[in-house]
Amino acid sequence: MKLWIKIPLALLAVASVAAGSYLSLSPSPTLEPTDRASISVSTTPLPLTIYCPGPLAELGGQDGTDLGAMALIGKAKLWANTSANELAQEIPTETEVGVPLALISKEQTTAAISANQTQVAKRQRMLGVAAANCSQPVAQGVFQTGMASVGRESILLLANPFANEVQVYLEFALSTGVKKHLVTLAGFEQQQISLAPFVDAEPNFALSFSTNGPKVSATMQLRTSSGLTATGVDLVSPTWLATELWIPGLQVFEDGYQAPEMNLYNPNGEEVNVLVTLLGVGNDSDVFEVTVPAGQLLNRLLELPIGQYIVKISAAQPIAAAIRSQRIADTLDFAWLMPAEEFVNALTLPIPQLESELVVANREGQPITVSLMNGGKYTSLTIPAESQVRVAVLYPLAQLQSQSRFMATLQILSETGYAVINPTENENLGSDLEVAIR
Amino acid sequence: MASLSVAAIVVSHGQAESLAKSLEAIAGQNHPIQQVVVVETAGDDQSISLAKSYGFASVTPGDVRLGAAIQAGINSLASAPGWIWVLHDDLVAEPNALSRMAIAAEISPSVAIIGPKLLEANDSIQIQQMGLTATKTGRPFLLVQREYDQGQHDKAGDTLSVSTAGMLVSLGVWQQLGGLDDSTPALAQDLEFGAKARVAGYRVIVEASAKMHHESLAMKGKRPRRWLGGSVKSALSKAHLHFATLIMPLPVVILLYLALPLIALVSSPYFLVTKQPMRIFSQLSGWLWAWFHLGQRFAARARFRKLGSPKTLKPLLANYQQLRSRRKARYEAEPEISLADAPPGVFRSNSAWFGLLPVLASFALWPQGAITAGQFAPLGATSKLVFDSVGVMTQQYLGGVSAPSDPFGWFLALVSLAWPSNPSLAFAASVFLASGFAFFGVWFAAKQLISKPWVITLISLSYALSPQLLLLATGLQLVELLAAAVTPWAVGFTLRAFDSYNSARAWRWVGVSGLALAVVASLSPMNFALLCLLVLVLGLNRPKRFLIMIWALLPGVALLYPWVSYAVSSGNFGLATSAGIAASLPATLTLVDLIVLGGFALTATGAWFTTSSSKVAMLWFFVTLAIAASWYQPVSSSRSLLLAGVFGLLLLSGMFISNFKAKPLKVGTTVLLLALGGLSVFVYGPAQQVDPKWSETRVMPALVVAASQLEPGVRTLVVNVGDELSVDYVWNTGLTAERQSLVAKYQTQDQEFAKKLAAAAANMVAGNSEGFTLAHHELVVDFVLVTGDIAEVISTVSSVDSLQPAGESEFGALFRVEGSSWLSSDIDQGIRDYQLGVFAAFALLAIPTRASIRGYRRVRNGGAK
Repeated sequence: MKLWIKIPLALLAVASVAAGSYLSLSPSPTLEPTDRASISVSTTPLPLTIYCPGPLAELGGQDGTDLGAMALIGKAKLWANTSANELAQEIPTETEVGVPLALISKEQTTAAISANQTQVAKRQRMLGVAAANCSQPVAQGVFQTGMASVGRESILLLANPFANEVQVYLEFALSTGVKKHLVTLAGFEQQQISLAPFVDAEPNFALSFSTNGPKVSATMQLRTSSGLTATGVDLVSPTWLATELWIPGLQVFEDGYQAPEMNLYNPNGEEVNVLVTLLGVGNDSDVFEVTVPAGQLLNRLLELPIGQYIVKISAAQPIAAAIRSQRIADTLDFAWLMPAEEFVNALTLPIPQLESELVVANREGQPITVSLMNGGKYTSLTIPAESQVRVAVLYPLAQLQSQSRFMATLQILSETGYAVINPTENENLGSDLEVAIR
Repeated sequence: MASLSVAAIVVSHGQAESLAKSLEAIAGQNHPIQQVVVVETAGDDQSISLAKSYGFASVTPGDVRLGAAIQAGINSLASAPGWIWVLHDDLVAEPNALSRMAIAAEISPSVAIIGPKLLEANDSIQIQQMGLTATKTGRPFLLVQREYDQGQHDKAGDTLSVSTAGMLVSLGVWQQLGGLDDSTPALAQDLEFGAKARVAGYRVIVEASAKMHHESLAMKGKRPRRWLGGSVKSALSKAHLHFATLIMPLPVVILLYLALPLIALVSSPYFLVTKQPMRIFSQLSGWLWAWFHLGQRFAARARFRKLGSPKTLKPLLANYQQLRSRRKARYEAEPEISLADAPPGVFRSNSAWFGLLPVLASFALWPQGAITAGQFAPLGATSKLVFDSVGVMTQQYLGGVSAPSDPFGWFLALVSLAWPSNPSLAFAASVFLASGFAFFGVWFAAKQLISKPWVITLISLSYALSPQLLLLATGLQLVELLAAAVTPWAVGFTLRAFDSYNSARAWRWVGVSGLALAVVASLSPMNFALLCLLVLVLGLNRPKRFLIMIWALLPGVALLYPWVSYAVSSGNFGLATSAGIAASLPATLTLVDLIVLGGFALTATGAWFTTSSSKVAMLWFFVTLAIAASWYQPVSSSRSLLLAGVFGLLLLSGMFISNFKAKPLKVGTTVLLLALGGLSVFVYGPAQQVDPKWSETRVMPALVVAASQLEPGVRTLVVNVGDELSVDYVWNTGLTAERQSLVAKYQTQDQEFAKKLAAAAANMVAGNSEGFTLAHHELVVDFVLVTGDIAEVISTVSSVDSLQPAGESEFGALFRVEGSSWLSSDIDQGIRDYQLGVFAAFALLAIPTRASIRGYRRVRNGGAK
């Protein structure tokens, strides 16, 4: 072939490749996969059972010298509300042991059944108010509030509300590593377990637990003292791990004995950076970042100006967090402020006959409105974005309703002590389940 | 001189040019011919006027067969001669041919039929035929064939029969025997006629000194097919059956007819291995023909046996020695040049060591278990399990989806054969070796076009280390990577088949090429379509070889047929472009792609000025088409098509470098390619982080796998608890790689079945025993596996009466469903058996045998072979 023919042919060839490449730069038409919508299913859920952990436990007898002795002391007062649904049993007003409260109903919310308990301790070694939400038993949970060493005591109140035997695996996260322990609970058995033998006198530790399937009630009782002076008592329910947690209701009191302290627990296999945002309500906010080593619990004091705060904690990996706050009234007492659960529409919360304040919080980016019915009065609460509102509430009941998601926590601020109740939704899986078929 | 009275009957069929030569030779005979009659069966005016010009008579009996034509010639004779000389229009007799035969006839009065020594018309020293006989089974057998005439067969001898071409036959015997039987298959007519003469007590001889040159137009396919009653092979099969019917004992003949289907079936593999696949069809057509013409065959047998006993033929049939000599002769080959003189191949040039470089660049993919990254899942536990789900028409999704399985499954089944007890590892190994495989593939293909080993190595490395290929490996676009590795091999095999020296060898390479193209089809239907086009384009260049080469597309077409047909019938045409769900998602060209394509295109352009323009034009067409078509990716990535374009550009670059004389430009181009390769390895090679997510090979708990192996109908309800409740209905041992289905992703879900599943799952997590039992009975569930946030639901699930805890596993909490009834495994196999039949046939074709090695030339047109 002659050169004068080859040259244009070569140019044509290069141009065709260039044109092909140019074509390939534009996106191709695509075939979209079939849309798979979820299917809504409603079924009859299991009967709803909540459990009140019962009275406080005392280790070592009244004066602390009876080594190894463990006994429940006094009575816990129960504050409950039920709808007209069928109850499995009468709800007592006070109890000397842990109590399951069961309800047979397809309608399962806090409006159907909700309860909490309070106990005012006035003993030489135990002083203050301990309160807890009566919540549904769980198969796993985390306590990031463990306290030990001198003047700090942790007792685990375990109960099996059902007839079948259950094994509970305890895992203690200590600075020196992990310790494990297995507890077996017979049907309907309750146990109070002193945690001191497991934690090597570490001042702060975390405890994770899981069962072999059945659910249990687990509550951690915490007590502090300074020398022979009791400095508070509290009951704490287990919480969950998440990458974003909100703790509403932090109040730095004028008469605070010590600055609040925060516990951050990282159960993951690698260290995690945690961003803590202390959003001041009517006062300045603060933010800091802290690195929590893998499998460790970090304790940190929160040096904050007096005022109200809602705390946002976020991390790349799921973590647990809690804040211990102290308050002086007639007595010195403390309470652990735990991450709050979000409610979708409504919350019904029994109010004890103690001076109480309800903190309603909003984690959304815009203000929300929550209706509160208490003491025969209706109040509309407007809560700014990422903020909270604190209102005094009266016995016996507070009912909250909103179109938006909201969080709530009940704080007992009486002369006899300081306690916080974190309500949770009472509902078994069953109604309005969304199922995706893959 | 002999005084025999002879009349010549020339049977012509519209071949005036050949007839002219034949008549000229008749006119030049030195033995007097009493009369010459040209029998023109095609009624060709030119042939008739040609006869007239020689002063010969002519008749036009119409388009009749040979026997009737000769008889018409005899009937038209003015006076009856003693002998008739039968000639064909493609036969040229030497001047003394007739006189030699006439002398032989006079010497031996018992001789009734005399045949000449037939020589090839276009090669006058090669013997075409010297008498006919048959094997003991009745197959026509030439006593001498394709031998150079050195006088080694010149001793006149008795034979069973002779060809009608140039046959001198006593007119009396002709009439006694009834002439040629036109109901007999064409290639058995002369054999039967000779045999009849023999059993009637006459002699049939070949007169070696009578030489005639035969064009053999019918045997060379230059006559209408009906002349032979089909193809040559089919005519031979019919002749075989006919003559066997004549000479074999009746019980044997009956048995033979009954066993014909079996014989056709059993002999097929033999014909494939011996690279004569077309004989399978002739065998089949012979069988059908024999059954449908049973009456005619037995009538012929009766007529034949009326003349005498066939026992007298026995000494004249081909003996063992003759058969053995013929077989040996078939494999005689021209001496090949010595290895020392041949240009070096990949191993002898020590280029194979460079093949380690791409493998080393892929060390991050060193096989350590099952690859589970992205869309990949472990394969079935054994190759049998993998194979069971491949090529079927029932997808194991919900209640079963009637659709073809992904073509990629075929590749998985193939690699699983490498390690039947651990297919996942076999697949991982294939991925690890893919880039090395690509290097050798390019080497193999390039050596058909380029002679210099260092140039071939350069472009092979440039391909195997190109950013496109390395990015496929590091990006875990494994289906595309494998397609890019196999495509050069398929191209190489195709080129090899086209360039084969003889048809047996071409068939062998068609076998290999067909299988390689099927592998490409299973990995990338788009690449397969491109290679089909390549075969068609090459076929335009070599039309004769194309008739063989076109068969190479059959395995790929068979593999993709259900897939493409489903895509067309469902209206989702885009599905046809994807190999399956394991293929990567679409991706447009990047800047790196443009730079590489630009660089390679620049060097490839030089090929226009150094190499044959037709080759270069064809390759550019191939490249442009590949790059342009890579734009279309409706379902999955077409990177492998882009790589095919890169491969073409590299071939062109290699052709340029290899042939270009100016050293600076040659060195510059080489350095450019090396620099691109080096830069590519540096940027996209081992430094890239790759996480194939190695895992165990099971996708379901051991208990489920064990139960599935015992009973393939096992179904497991997998409930994942998370923010949302999600449910999988898993068949058998789980959703292993070969069971994943792209079609299921694009298929509208069976809502009724989905609702039942949702109800079962919801009732289960709610602890509603009654609801679960009701739903379970409608579904059939043998196991329940709860995964995700198990603690949330385990107690409620445990409370369901019909669920028995079966332990915790790495997958979640397993429950056995009480009272479950095993579901029968009802999988539509589709056309899988036929597909497998095609693959097996091509595997037999691909086996190298002496038939395919014969004629292999190490050197063709300067290529490094």
